[in-house]
Amino acid sequence: MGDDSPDEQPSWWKQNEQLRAELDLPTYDAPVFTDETYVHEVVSALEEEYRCDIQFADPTPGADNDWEIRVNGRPVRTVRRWRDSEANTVFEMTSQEFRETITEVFDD
Amino acid sequence: MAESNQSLARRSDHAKSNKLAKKLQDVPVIDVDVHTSFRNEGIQRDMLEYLDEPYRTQLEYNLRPDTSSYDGMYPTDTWDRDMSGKLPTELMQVTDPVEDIEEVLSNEFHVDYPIVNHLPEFNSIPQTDKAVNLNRAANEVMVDRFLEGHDNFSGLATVVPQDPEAAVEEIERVAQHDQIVGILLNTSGVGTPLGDPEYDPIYRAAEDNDLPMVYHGAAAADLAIDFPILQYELNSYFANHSLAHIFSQLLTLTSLIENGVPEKFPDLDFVFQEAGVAWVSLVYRLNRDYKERRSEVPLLKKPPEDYVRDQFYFLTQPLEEPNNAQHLQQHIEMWADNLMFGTDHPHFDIDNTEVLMRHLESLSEEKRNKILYGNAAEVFDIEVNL
Amino acid sequence: MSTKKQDLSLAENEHIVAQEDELADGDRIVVLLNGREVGVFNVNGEYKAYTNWCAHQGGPLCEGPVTGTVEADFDRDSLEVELDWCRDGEVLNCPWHGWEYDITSGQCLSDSDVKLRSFPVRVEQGNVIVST
Repeated sequence: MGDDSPDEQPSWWKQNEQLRAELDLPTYDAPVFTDETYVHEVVSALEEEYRCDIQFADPTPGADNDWEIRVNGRPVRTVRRWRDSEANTVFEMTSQEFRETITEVFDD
Repeated sequence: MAESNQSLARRSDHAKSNKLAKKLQDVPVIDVDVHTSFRNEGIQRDMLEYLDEPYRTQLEYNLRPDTSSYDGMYPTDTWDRDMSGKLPTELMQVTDPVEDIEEVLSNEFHVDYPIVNHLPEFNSIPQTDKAVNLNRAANEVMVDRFLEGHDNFSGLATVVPQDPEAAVEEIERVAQHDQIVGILLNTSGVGTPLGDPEYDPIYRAAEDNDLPMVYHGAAAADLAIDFPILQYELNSYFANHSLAHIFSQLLTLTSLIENGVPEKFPDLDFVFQEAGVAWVSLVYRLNRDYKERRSEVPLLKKPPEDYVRDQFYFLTQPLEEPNNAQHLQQHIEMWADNLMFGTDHPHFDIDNTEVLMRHLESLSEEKRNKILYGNAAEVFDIEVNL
Repeated sequence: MSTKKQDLSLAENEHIVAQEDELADGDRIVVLLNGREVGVFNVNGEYKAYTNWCAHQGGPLCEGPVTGTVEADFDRDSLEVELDWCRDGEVLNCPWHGWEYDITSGQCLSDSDVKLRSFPVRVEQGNVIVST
């Protein structure tokens, strides 16, 4: 289970916890890959390594659960997203697969 | 004119002097559910003068000793209610207000203000005109025989739902009597559930005349119209009686809510008799479904529970009996503001006032008194001497 | 399109989510921003951004069907109920349990105590920018 200690948590973590608490919802946890690593940690590292912007977006909400991985605004791959029993986000790929996806973009 | 088969034991003076009885001596008690023995010959004979023909002749014929009683008048079924005498369900005949109500209820149950009803079974009479006639006569007899001259008595008039127009006329008529304090609907055997818009004229007339609506089910022949399986496929009266009252009330309450009746008539109160308190948890499920399907019931401006807490009341009788008495306590506490006391005299499953008091002990005196008389005094507009 | 154009000098909490012409009236997109999903709608020409958590059980509300809803009026004299299909294109239905929200205000129609917090959205040089 991805486990960020409070010192290592990004600045937005507390805000998300608070938003959840305001609505009496289950405890917040940041989005993860299927191997339970935090998406934001892997993304930050890759953005720094390749000096790029990486974004997850669903341009057709409601149509299906396929999201886009966008590098510098350009979609490079789709990934399925679902919610766990606490309503937290899981992207259906391993962090390894994700790293390979990004690396491929820059290895041309 | 009471018969001499009083099987209610008279309590000794010692028994009457327990501390709960003492508490009740100082508190006025309104009994919201007192039945007459409607099919008693004396009461039926009183009805004759108020009936149009051919119903007068019909009833007269049925009262002859050589006819089988009430065939062609009132429905029956084949449940062995009294278990062949093992469990007499009617403790006595109630035909006289003083001997059969006043003396019994006030002496034995500390009741000061009885609210009386006939609970007749007219829902399954196919000829609507006959049902309307019999019903009007029944209401006349209620006033004549049980109310006039007995200042601390109040009565519930019945209407037959099959003819909403006639029901409106009847409401306007009975509203003239000060002692008629509510309109009773027998909820077993109505066919179309009682919240349906076809009954709106009844609710409007009741609201116009400041009369609350009272609902009472019956584990009896009329039930077959709404729940034929209960009446024809169950194997015991134990099962039939357990379900009949709550099935009818679950359906009635849901129907009132789905059709927005408390929203349409915001000054109207709705009182449910003889189903106990536990079934009211239906409301929590209604809350959830309401949030999921709000646009299907757009008249509702609040969740169902809000309407129920604002405008609905429930008689405690017959108190349920969970293995753990604490659990009943919790139900009572959850709904204390909406409860009223009723004995269901002369039926055997009376809740003794003192037994009820034991369950009310954890409540504040203020809440307890609301159940014993406060809620009923407000809803039925009964003046109570404190 | 880069999410952080130098000439826009965006703050840490500001994110480009789409181009203006990608989010025309009636369009929407859901984006992962600062660890949570945010739905951005163009409703009646105005941009609105809400966290993708339904107040009921946290469901992905921004992905539910966008419809209208029904309101009713009762006339006590005629005893008639008039039904009105209204707010077409302005009502969001959570895909998990059907709770309704007015997209223009965030007001929950299923539970009047709930109103979603909306996040500021602005357009600069054709970019739709959300502040979390």
